[in-house]
Amino acid sequence: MESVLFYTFATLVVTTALLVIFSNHPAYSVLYLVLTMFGLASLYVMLHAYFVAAIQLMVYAGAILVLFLFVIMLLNLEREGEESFRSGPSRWLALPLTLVFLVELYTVVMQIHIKGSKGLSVEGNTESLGHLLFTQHLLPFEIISFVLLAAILGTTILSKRNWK
Amino acid sequence: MNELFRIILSLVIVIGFVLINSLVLVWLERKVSARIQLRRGPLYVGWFGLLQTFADALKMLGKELIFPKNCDKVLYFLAPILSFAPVLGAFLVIPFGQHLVIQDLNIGLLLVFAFSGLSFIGIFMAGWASNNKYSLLGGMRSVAQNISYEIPLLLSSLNIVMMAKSFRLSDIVRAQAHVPFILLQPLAFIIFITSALAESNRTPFDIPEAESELVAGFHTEYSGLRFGIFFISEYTYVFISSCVATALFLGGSHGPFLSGWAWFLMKAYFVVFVVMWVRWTLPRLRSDQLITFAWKVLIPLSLFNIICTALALQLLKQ
Repeated sequence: MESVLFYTFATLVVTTALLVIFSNHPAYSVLYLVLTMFGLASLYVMLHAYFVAAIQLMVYAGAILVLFLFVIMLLNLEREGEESFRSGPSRWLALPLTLVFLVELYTVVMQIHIKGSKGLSVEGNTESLGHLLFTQHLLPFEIISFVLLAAILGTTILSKRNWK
Repeated sequence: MNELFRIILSLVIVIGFVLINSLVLVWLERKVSARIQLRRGPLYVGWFGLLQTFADALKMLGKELIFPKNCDKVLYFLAPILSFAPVLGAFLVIPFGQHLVIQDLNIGLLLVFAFSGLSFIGIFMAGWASNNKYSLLGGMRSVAQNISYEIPLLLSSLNIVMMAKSFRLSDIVRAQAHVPFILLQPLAFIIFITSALAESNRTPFDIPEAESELVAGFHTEYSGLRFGIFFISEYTYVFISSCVATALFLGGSHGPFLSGWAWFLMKAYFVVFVVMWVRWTLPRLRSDQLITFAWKVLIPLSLFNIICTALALQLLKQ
């Protein structure tokens, strides 16, 4: 049962991720990406990481991808996005860059050993996650919030640049 | 396996309930609006016109399903389904009674928000796939509005999570055995209801489907049953937000004499009534006022409220 579900969701994730790349229209790509996120959330659920799954759906599918859709559909009003999507000199850079990225990813993934934390009970998921964030991983957590703050300030300044 | 069967069975029951419930809510809306406008509303079909909406639904089923020229057929077809389906997921965790909950997850509240956040992908797809400028404008307004109002909605319910120390909706209800949270968190309740109104596209926040500007907004091009699904999903969102408001602020199934589910439904329908009351009393806001209101009033207020709650909880602990 479990492996059947896993392979179903894993194929869903992989096929929709491929469809994101191969579909003709950017709007379709985003909608496939929503499905990818949904599949990932299902995989998290299978790992008993309910909190992460809910956040995944809420943040990625619910907010970020909808912003993507917003931008793409605004662009598409003038039928601009489609032509520049796969042409131009950037196309020839794609393959080498992807290769570099893949090698990088492979080496990093091979180096880390992900330990399942068996001490965590399934029910106390949210609590233990919060506890870890505010004790063991406090510094990275704070640094991330600073990065986010910088991003917020940056966008505010960029959007108000023409105001004077 | 047994568990899976139970969930599927309860979802079938939920679908049936949702259909009947939205027909009843449409009837209620007509009655409430009629009372407010000094009319009498539907009268002749059935007892107090109760069967009027059933008759209308039957009429709607018989209408022709139109595919507009130049529409994106696949997305046009999927959009109503995608706007309706996520709300069913939210029913999984609503505690209708002491033990009357389909699946009492420890992230219940988050699950409700995760699913209801998906719905406006459907609305936006409808607006875009119709290939109609009014629909597209409606869809874009809907996205801007939903993204803005989701933040105060989450922040205001975070106060309750902090007080109940759990995301599990039944724990939150249990924490209100003596005092409902509306008395302790009145500001959070107001913010929650306001944002929930905006999330379910109700007046005074119904700019995605503002008739006077956009014909019917994102569902201008939809006819027959597909239009009906949009209609049902709007009413179901109203109902589910009222249920969440009941569980978070009004003490859920707690109450004297009657059994839990009766209290829960009474409170939920009362919130639905308030939502309708607001709709027929207040005029619609302008699009920019709406977004400004979310970012400059509701979000700072809810952040302030969170800080106050955290301070109060810390001080009371010592």
